[in-house]
Amino acid sequence: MSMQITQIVGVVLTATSLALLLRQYRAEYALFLSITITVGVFAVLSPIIKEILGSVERIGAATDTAQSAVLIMKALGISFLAASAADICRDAGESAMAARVELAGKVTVLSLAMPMAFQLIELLGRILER
Amino acid sequence: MSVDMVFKIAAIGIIVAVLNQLLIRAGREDQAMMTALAGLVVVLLMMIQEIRILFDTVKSTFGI
Repeated sequence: MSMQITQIVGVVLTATSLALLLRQYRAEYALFLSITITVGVFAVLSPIIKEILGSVERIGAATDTAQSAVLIMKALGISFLAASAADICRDAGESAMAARVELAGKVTVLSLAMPMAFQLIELLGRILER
Repeated sequence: MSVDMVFKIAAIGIIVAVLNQLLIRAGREDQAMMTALAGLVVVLLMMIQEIRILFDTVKSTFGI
């Protein structure tokens, strides 16, 4: 675990200096470098994230909220994808595209969460009828 | 895997930049543009694979 963080910091700092060099001459390669770093860092982190999400799922199963745990995981994945895409767009100077990607992520997460909001409202209704 | 990719992209970028400068100095602006375009296409093809890997990993990790 602590080995991996030193590796990631080293690789990312190297890539940052290369991107800084490339930005003067050909700015588009800096964009490609940041996409590669996103993929690489996530590939290194994904086993750890999987482990953490596995324990979240176990907690959900133990407390009878497995459905919500799965939903939270999906929302986390969508948010991660949208946020990294938006950051890459913003680095490339395209803040409008970054905002659209973020909007798409928000809408997707909201559409996932809507059934749960309905359940909450139904529950409130049942409590108030009593 | 990622480190190799980073160095590969940086190397292609530097080579394309140098070639571009050389060709522009030699008065071959059209060929300089073609070189820049070729480098861009090569790196984009590499990038498509990477993005597919990212999507697959995210999908399998978060169960989307």
